[in-house]
Amino acid sequence: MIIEERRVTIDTYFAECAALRDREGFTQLTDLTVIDYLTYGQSEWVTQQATTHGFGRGKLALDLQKGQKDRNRFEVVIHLLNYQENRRVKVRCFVPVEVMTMPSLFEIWASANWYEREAFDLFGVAFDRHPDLRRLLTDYGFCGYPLRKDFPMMGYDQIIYDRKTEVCVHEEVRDRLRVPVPKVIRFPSSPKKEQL
Amino acid sequence: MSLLSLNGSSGYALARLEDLISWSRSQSMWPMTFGLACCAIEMMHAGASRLDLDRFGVMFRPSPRQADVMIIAGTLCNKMAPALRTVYDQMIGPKWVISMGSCANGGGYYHYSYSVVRGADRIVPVDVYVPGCPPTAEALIYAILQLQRKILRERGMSEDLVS
Repeated sequence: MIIEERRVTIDTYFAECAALRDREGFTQLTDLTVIDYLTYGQSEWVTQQATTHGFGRGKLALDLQKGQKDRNRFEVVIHLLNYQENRRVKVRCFVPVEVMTMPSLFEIWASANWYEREAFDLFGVAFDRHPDLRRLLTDYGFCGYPLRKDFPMMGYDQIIYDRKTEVCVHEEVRDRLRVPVPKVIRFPSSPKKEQL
Repeated sequence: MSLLSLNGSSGYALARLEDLISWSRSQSMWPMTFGLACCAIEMMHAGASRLDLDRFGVMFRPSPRQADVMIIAGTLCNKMAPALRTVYDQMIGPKWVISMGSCANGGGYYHYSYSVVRGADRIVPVDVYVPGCPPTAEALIYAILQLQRKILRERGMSEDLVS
């Protein structure tokens, strides 16, 4: 099934969504998430041909190229369902970086409540007129937005039990940060290829 | 347990008190179930009728006050770690901990994650580690038997019993 896609701007975002529900019958919001385009199109990990020695397992995080934080870094994507006509539509809208705020869709679809909390938690996008915009998944007092591309995969702090004070405390992550991209071996290692 | 002497005709046996205590402890380990992820499913299998942990005197308890073994079955997240420590502190000594599965042993698949504790032994002291992802129910039973052997070898009454 081909999913229809519509790009809207921040000015028409709320009105378009309300029209989609009221006029076109998209009564259900099935998903709302955010895309971070910070490193879109950049290859973090150039894969080389496998050798009999194998690969090094880890690689340090590359310095992210600055200056990509332009207007179109974050994009909100929502998926709608019209279950009477069995139609689905995808609505995309860029988030204005200056304010990092979108209008909340809670008044149109109640299911937007926790999706927007999740997007706020993991991407740091705020939603205007949301009834209860708290973090949803991450730890109490968590710092940072983990699904942003400039967030280090191991985070900034880890938790450990302190025997002296007898409480669990946060300490800084001292391990080296790695690229959050899995290593893919595209070619099987064979002695023949190395001879060539 | 090492019986010093067994008098069959008179119907009594002699044993050291500390042997008796460690024997009785090892035969009634009541675990505090701390099922956190898919390992808990295997833990349920071990407790269900086919393998039946009740045979070993292992009865799952819903309250830490009644438990003396904690089975950490699954991924321990940062958010859960203080709660786990609180439950461990609420257990009455002597108490033991079984770390079940790769995640509880050392973070496992989520070792480099920003939200997972890299090993439950960063939070509580662990007696037995069960490898596997998840370990089979048989592996958990083997770990419980190993813990029984460890308790049987403990010498001397612990301080909380004397005081």
